[in-house]
Amino acid sequence: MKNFKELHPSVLIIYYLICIIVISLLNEPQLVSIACLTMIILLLSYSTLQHVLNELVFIVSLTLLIVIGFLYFYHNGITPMFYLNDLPVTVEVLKYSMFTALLVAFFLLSIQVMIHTLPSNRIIYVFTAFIPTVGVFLALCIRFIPTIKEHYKERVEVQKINGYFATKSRFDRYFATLQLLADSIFWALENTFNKWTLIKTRAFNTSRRTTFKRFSFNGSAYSQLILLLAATITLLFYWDELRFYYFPETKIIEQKSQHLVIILAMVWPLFLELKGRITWFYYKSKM
Amino acid sequence: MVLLQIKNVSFTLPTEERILKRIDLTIEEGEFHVVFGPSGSGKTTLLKMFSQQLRPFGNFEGEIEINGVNMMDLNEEQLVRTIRFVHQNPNDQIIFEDVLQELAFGLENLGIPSDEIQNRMAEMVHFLKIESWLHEKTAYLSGGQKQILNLASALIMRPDILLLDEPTAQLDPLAATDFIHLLKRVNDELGTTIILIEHRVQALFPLATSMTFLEGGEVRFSCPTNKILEYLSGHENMVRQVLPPGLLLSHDLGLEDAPFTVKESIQLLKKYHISQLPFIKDLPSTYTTEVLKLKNISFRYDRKGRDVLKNIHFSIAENEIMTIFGNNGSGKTTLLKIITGQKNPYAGELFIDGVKQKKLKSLYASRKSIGYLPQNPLALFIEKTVLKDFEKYCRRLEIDPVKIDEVVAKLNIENYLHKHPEDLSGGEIQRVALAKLLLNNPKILLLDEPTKGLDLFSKNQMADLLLQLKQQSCAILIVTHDLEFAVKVATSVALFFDGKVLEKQSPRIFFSNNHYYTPAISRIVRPFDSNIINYEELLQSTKNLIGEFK
Repeated sequence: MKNFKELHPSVLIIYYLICIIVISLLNEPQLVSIACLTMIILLLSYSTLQHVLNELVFIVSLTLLIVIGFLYFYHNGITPMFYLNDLPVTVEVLKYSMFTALLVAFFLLSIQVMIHTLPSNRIIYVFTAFIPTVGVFLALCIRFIPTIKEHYKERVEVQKINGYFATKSRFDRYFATLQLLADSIFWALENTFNKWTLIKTRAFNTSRRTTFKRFSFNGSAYSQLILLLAATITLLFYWDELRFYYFPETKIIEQKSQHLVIILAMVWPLFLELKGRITWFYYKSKM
Repeated sequence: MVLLQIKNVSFTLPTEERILKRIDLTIEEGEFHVVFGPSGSGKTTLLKMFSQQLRPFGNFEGEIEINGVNMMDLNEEQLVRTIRFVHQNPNDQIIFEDVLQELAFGLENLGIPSDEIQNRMAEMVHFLKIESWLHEKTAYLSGGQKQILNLASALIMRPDILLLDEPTAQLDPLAATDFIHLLKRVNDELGTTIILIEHRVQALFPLATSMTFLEGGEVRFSCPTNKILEYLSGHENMVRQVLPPGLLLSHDLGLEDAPFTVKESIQLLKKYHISQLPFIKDLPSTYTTEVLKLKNISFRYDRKGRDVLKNIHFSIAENEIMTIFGNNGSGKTTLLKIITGQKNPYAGELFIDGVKQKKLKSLYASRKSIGYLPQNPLALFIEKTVLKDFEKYCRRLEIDPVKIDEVVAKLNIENYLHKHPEDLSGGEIQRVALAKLLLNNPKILLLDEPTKGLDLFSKNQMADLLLQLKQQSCAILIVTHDLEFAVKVATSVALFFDGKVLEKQSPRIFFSNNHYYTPAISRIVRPFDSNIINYEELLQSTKNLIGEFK
């Protein structure tokens, strides 16, 4: 089934790069919201509902923490809602914290989608011609967090059975959990270095690399590239109009045609997915 | 023709610990060479000397020559084309998410043209018969398939020498046998020189051309396989244990024959006109109190999936050692997870000491009095040294620290206390992990592959320890592939099949009724209407019989 996942790896990398840069620079509420929604829908099409829900639970918890953190520490803005330690907590900070948290959620969701659409071999394929090491480094980075999760889960289960958390003190249990998490992060780091060693034992970087798989540019890839180019040009030429600000007073959210160009570039993968599924449905009907 | 020459190689760690001491070894072209020895003798370190990247940090002395050329004079690409590795843990070597890319990676790095890569991949896939899972994700392959993939990734580079470090350690007996025979095929049909580190040496006798015994970082002897009996004296303890039962029997009876296989052993007995061997009366074990009971337990990982456990029903008493066999991926580890509370069945009940166990709701809850040794024993350790880990564990569970000395002495692990758990060998970490569990005096011990990576001497020690624990009323449930170990320790045995634990039987009845899940001795005596399952019984029964005919 030819869909977004099957595009040339360089198109995928450019897509993620441009989306992240554009959304981060603008931090505009409607763009951030649509970006998040796009990633959730893409993740649903590549993964199970259960997995997506589990991820969302984690992401929502994290975003709530970010919002609370911002409300506690930031006191900019001109419209106070209430006072905390004699410092105003303003509507502007609330909006800023919500959409910044949503931005963080977008990053995390993008990484999840990247894991599904950019396996290691595709990343290395893109960088093979010029800097293969960068490709390997990126591939290992993307897989860093899943490696931590797997290791942490295994350790927690085994330690739990053998009474590691068998203490009445809640603080002790939380500290024990943090220690296991830290242990897993260091292990994942070491595992990454070990993987790098293994990669070198297979003659990596000893001579000019070739690839056995060939990816080609098709109509879908070109359409995505054109839209991404249009989004980039729009951002560069209309930066002053598109730039969004929260302080001292939040800018009024407007629907502009320039937004449409950026939104189209972002959600185009959904159309490609839909097109792929319809085509496959048609082929299946002929079987 | 000499292919590999190791000349006076020594290796010392920065801590001044000498791992390898003046190793001299010569390997001829086309040999199938087996290296064996106790855990911690330096076998894996010796293998790592062949790669600059894998070599640990330390002081290397001596020379390694390949085809008469010093290894240091070969560049990286030449070395990669000449020597390839397959490591113990199948997961450690796999880099990519899909099988095709894993196969192609090495060739891509060497700059082989794309068409040739495709050709070589096609050849290798057909040779190793892996078409059926070619498009799978590597994460979903079984342990045996992963090792075959690692072997394929190594062979596709067309190396002169293939180095394998206990490649069957994590495989069930049938998968291990298949893998070893595949290696023999590679050796015979491709002429690749194979150097294999293994603990399960008995099965390799018919296949290996030569063997090396490594102990304490030194080569004790190196000889052709058929000459190994000449080196028996002076190394009796270790070498006896690796000999196939037929060969050992022939030696102990003073015969000149040298049977390596079950078939040859049967022919040996028939040669001396033995038509029948004793049928030993099976004395039923007497058990006291039931401590663990599973009643109609069923479990599946997701609603739409199939049942991994179906109506599991069995119990274990407090002086019982029960062993469960089954293929990798059959659900044995899941069964242990149900008992420990990591997973909850959708039907059935679990009783510990007669008390029905409730579902563990809290993330931090555990079932008391259970000690669990996982397949990956490193998961038990958090601290930087073994001793610190033990001390923290004692503090957490309010155990008297004096218990540490007791357990250390029992398992003979004094030398490992100040080491980082990840620096210990496979066998060493198993013993240290078991020691940690024993600190808490568990009533029920659940052991998942406890003999993985252990040499035969350490296995005997572990067997003695488990039998001692049994006497102290500890109930032990072992999930293992190690048939010989089960013969030594088990009081009851069962097979795991199709989500069920089949009828529990005594080891004698179980092994004598089986054809495949049974040790070599049992297969040897089957034509003689006997139910002998261990070597001592076989030697005793044949001594007099053969003495009459000599």
